[in-house]
Amino acid sequence: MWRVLFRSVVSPLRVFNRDGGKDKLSASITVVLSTAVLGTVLLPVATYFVYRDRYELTLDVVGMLTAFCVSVLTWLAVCLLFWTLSKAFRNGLRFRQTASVWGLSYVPNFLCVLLYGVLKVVPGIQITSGFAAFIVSALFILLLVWKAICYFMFLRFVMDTTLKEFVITAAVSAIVFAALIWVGSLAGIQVPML
Amino acid sequence: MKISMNERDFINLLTSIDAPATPPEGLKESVLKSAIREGTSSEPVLSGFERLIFEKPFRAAGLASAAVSGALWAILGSGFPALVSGWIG
Repeated sequence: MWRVLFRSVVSPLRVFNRDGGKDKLSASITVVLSTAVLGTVLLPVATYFVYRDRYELTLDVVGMLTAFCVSVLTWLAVCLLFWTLSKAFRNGLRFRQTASVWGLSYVPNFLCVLLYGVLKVVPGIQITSGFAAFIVSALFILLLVWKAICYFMFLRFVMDTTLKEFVITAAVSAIVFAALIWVGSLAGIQVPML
Repeated sequence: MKISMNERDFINLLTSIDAPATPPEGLKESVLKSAIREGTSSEPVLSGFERLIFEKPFRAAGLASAAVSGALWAILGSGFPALVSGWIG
């Protein structure tokens, strides 16, 4: 599993393909669950314990669990979307293959949630101007571009789309992603997890 | 050391040596298919641009991020971090 995770960062072409395996699926699920737990459980808990003396805060356990479930469900919804489109294109992609690879694209999400959490939780870090703010902003853009590359790799090597199929998938997924981000924001998810 | 062999066995042996080896039916095809599949699945054919982006996406994202951030910093100045932090929430 750890080898798959390492490859997904260092040489992703070796994992962004249809070759299956238990390791790949377990690595995928691990990344998704870690990201969801970090963003919806650990981050609110850490914020509560750091700032409870300064502000009147309450720990919303139900809200945290709801956000966690929504995070995992959005991952499954996106997998279902890609699988359905692949079925429509007759590309022969199985749902297990979709879930195994799409979860690996959550590595940038995990790092984004981590960076956001550090900036939010660690007292004294108020980076709003100067070169440090430039670096932090550039890091967020880096993670966004990395995620976008993972998305295109998925379409190119896993779904194996033609140009027409690529345009259709991009258009449909843009609408679905926007809807899922909106649903996630209603559930209290601060950093979009798709 | 002397090995004794009767004439019939000797003829059988010579016949079996001369006969061409024939693999079981379908073996050649399956070996060929697996070789082709292995060759094509592990190394997809990529254009130069795709190779730049997909082989090392982290590096490509870093380069893109540096370029975009530098350009936005040059245009917006200190408004750039404010824009990103407002966008992140």
